[in-house]
Amino acid sequence: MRFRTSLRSGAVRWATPFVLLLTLLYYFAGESAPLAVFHGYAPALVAAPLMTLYALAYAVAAGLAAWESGRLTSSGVWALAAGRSRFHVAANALLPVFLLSWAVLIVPVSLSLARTTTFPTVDSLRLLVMALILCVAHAVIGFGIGIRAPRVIAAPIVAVVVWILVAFSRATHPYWLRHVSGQYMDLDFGEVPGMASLVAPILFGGGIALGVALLWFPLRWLLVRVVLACIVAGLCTFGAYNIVKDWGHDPPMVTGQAPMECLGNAPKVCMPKATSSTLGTVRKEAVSVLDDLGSRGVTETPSVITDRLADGRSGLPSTQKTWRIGLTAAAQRDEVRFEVLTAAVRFPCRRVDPVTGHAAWLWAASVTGEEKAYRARVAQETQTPDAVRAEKQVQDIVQRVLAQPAKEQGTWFRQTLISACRGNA
Amino acid sequence: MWWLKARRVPTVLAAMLVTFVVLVFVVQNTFVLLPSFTGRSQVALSLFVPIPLIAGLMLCLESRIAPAEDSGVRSVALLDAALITAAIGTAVVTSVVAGLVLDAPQAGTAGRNALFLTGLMLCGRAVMGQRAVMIPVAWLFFVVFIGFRPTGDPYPWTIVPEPAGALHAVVGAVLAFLTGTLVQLYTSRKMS
Repeated sequence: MRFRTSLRSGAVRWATPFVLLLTLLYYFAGESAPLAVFHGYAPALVAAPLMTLYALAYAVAAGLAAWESGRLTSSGVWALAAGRSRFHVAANALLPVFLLSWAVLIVPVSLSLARTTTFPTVDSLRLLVMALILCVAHAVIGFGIGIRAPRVIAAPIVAVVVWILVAFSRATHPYWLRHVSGQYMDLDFGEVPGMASLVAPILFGGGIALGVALLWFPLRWLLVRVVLACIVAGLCTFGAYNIVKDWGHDPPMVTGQAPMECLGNAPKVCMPKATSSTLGTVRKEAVSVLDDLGSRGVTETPSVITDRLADGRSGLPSTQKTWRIGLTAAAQRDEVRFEVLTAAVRFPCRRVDPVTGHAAWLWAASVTGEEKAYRARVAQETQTPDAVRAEKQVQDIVQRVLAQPAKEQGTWFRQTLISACRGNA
Repeated sequence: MWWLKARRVPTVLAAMLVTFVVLVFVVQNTFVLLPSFTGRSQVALSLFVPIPLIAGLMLCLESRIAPAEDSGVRSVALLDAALITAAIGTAVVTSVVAGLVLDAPQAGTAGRNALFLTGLMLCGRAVMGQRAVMIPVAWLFFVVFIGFRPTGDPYPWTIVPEPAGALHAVVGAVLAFLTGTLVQLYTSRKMS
């Protein structure tokens, strides 16, 4: 059967309007986040529309493939196929199914990229390629089921079951289910999915598909085929499970993958290229804060200040030499100075005594002329009577310190950073 | 009796009814969070329970002996309508009973949803033939994707995710079923 014949006679022809309508509805109803939040970062732009559509694509692939294989058996083509290999026959019938399920994934992704005039990078296509491969796997599984069961029953049930299993995996325990289901979460700026997190679902879905395909391998004994299929599917599932079993809620990500632009030296200030239009002013403000602190004898300056935006969700901590600050977000809110001085108040521990900690913070804000920003930030925290009393104490301490000579203030600050940790150690 | 056999009622439909009952008892009040375009779609699994049953029903209706049926004296269309009503009626009764016994109101909606989705499928069958079995599936996809408000409350047109007490959903389901059955009565003989 030629491609055009299989396209014209198959289930894809009447399913296409429904499926594409559902896919395009994403654009009329579904785009929850404005595209600007991605800052033109291609991997995140690709991941966002895919997130809701993986399950639909897999369900379309499996359901329609079940229908197609039912057509092949009921018309006798499957039993007849002595002249050609069964794989050839199956591939012929499935090609339109592949194309439709791929369209579910490719159309929204292209729309997202086109509307932001972003060029896809190789890394940004990782998730798409994984999903395309999994569509093939699901189609093979559906095809295998449709060979055995009547298509009128098999197709709807397969479609619904695949859809629920994949879609539901995101909200269920244990975690390994969501890591092998082939439904990926969204990406943040600077993130690229790790290779292992892409291999695991392909191993899982592909292994089961391979097992199903083995069932119609030209071997005489059905029992041998069944045993072989079970072994292959079982091994692949076990392998996938072994890859992901220790992962938590999120699969491992590679971060810091956005192109950066840096300016100056000691401190070198870096921001992603996409948001670096303000880099000059940001660096000027950062340097002025460091100078203000330096005039009071606080001379621990970092060698690099880099934008936390490119770290994704990883939450890497600042170190003495590298400060990680949300520069892009701060620049938008005009709070760069405040964020830099906050980064300068770096405690060597996690739990900090509230009064002493705030005192160091307020002092840093005072010497850089940012008390107003400090007050605004503290006002956002919960105002219990205890907190108000503590804040009063903080004001008193800082008043006293500011009356001292500049050199001693710096010494006080350095000691306070350490003593704020002592009470809770 | 030849007709029951030709329709594969003892095997297919009976098996699917049993599946329906088992599923109703298994899912009970389980809710799952599915990806949606418009809002939080906290969906009761009982939404999907009728699918095997109505697929089985479609298979039965499609298992025809066309020449005998088209030339026969007996009104096969009436028999078919009776079969549909009996099957879906059984489903409604069991799901309502299950809802009461298990104290799981969502289980009780499976019967109503079977009514509604069967009606949809039968209407579609007049146009698309046996492919209409995918119409209920498409409806469920649409409902989950765009049928929910951001608050998680379904829009009235969705019918299937409405709570057990929603009167308009019951009325809608019954209307859909009656329309579907009437369409079935008037068009079944013309189909091959």
